[in-house]
Amino acid sequence: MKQVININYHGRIIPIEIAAHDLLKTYTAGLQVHFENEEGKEEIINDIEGRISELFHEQLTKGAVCITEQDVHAIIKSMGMPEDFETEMLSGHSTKSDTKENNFSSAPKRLFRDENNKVFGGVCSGLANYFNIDVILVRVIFILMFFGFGFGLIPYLILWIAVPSSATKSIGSIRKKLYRDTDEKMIAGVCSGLANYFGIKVWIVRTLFLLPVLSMIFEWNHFFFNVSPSSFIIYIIFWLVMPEAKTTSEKLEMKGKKIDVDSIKQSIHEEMNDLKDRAKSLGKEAAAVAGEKTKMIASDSGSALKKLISGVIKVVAFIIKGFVYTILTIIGLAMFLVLFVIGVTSFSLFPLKDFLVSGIWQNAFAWGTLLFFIVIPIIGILTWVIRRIGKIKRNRFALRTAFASLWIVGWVALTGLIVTLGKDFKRVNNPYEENVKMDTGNVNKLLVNFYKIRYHKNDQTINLADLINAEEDTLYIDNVGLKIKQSTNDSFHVTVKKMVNGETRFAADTSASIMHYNILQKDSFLLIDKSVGINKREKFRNQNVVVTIYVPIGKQIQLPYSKEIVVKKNSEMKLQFWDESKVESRDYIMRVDGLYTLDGKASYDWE
Amino acid sequence: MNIDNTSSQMRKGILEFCILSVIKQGEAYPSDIITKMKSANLNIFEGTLYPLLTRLKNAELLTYRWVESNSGPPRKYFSLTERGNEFYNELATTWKELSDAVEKITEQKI
Repeated sequence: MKQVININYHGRIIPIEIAAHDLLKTYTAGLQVHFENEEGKEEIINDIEGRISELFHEQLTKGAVCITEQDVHAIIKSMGMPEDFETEMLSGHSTKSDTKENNFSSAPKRLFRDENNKVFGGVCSGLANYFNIDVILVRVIFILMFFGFGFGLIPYLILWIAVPSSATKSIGSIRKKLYRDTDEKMIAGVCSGLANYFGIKVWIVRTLFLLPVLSMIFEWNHFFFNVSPSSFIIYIIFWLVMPEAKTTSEKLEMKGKKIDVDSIKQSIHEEMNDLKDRAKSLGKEAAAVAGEKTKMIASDSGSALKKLISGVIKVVAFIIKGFVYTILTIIGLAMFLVLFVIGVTSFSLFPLKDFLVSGIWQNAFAWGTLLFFIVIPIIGILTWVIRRIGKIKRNRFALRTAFASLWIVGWVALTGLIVTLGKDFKRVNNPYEENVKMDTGNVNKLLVNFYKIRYHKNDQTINLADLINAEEDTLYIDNVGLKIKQSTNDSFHVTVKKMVNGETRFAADTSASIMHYNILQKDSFLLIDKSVGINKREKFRNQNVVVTIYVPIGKQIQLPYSKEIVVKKNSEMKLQFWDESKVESRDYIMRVDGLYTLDGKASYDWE
Repeated sequence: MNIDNTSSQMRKGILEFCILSVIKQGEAYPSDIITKMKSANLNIFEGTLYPLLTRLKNAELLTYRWVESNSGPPRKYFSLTERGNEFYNELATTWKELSDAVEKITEQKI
């Protein structure tokens, strides 16, 4: 057993093993003797002791319970023995041999990321050191893996996170902190601060930030990047999150030693432990409650049974714990994902807003909703996560208030948007069936087809707007229903019923009369528009159309058929999205009692 | 001739020059100086640094100020005095001449 005492060492309370303390005293005594005839002896020793105290403090913050003999040995090794001071320096050992010396000679060779010769995380040079091969070879292999097969990045990232940095070996490394570097700034010093933190060149960070902007320049028609100022938002978040390095000590901390991922890893570890503890206490409570109940039942039974039951309870509690935990994690992840998806879709759908909103107020509300209701929470949550990881506590209250009040503005905008839009949807027009001019005197079989309006597509980009089917000034909505009915006379005829919402009945009627919807008939062909066209002036007011085809008894009709198009009992069908390549046509015949397939099945039995 | 003594003298001079040039780049804290030297493959014991700094300070080439630190007592941050600056410039010229000369001579041998 080793005794530990508390000493006050240069302004810090240090718990230290007695043996270690004795070693320290011997070392200081050696220094005293060495600097006996030196001018300013007191100051030198004071400085050295101050530094040792700082190193002790660092060990303790890393999680050591007390300073051990080994710690003192390591510190003396890095400070040097008095007799080494004057002669022993630059004695020819390079970093490589030095790092090997730092590792106790008996310890087996371990893999470290090499902080001295790194480009990104020092993984390659670490591997090169470990296998004793040239680093260029390793880098080439990784680059080939990255470009040739595309998966070189993953092992690199895993190694970056999993392999300890060589900086952790040497004692006395400064813990790094994320600061904005205003000395090297372009805008706010975010990029150079990040570069300092990860120990990479600043142009790499700047290029990463500029990439989306560049892609915007090169791809004019890119819907997503065109609207999404993603890197801009990220920049702003970092700006909010990172404090500025003002004092000299902060600037040093910013550049510090290269610990990079390790510090992040450490704080994540701490988070996880915290979470684990909470889960444990949850499990204990559950076990305690369950234990009491079973005690009442099992009090008479033998102790063997008790043991068995408590064992079972433990297992059950463990399972419940795991279960609850998994669910919580999934919920958290899902919420984050949903938020992200909402963000992305609202950005990509936003250009469509002109089809919906009109007037200054509605436009203002729409912008307000996008910025304050959707973007602000995303920025807020990301800020919170990063601050949590970075353990930044400055300006907490101010930030919280700012985000909360901006979000309230977002709610106001959303409410305003809904109310004003609701007003515009208040009334429905007076729908009437409009006859389509037809010339189908001799036609015995009507061939029906749907006409999908196509527009010029830029094949290079993937557009979310493809799904919504929009051109620059026209939006096409698949809001068309199709009904098949029995004709009262012996010729085909077709009617169209248009429906629109509007602020007043009159407005709705007007919109209905100018609605873009066409049906074309030529001989036995009937071409029905698959979607309703809406232009930016008309706005989306839930326009929809019902087309009714009247088929005379004894005549046939050919309809496009696919799984999605199902003719219901009342011979009504609704057009939906379907895979057009799979559509096949089917023939039907109208009989006295309804529509039948040619082989005699009634229309509603097809499913 | 005692080779140990010679190279020790040589190192000592170079070391002073290196310390001064690190400090010249901006106010520096001793462990920062060590870090910079180590990253340049110039391995020295920390214990060597403190007496040297004190000597340079006593020679009025360096001055320092106390800076508050988040973790514990304040730290000494060193900067060059005017004399230190002059001294550094002289050393730099000497070093340049010397290293050029040495390079030329040693290369000729090969």
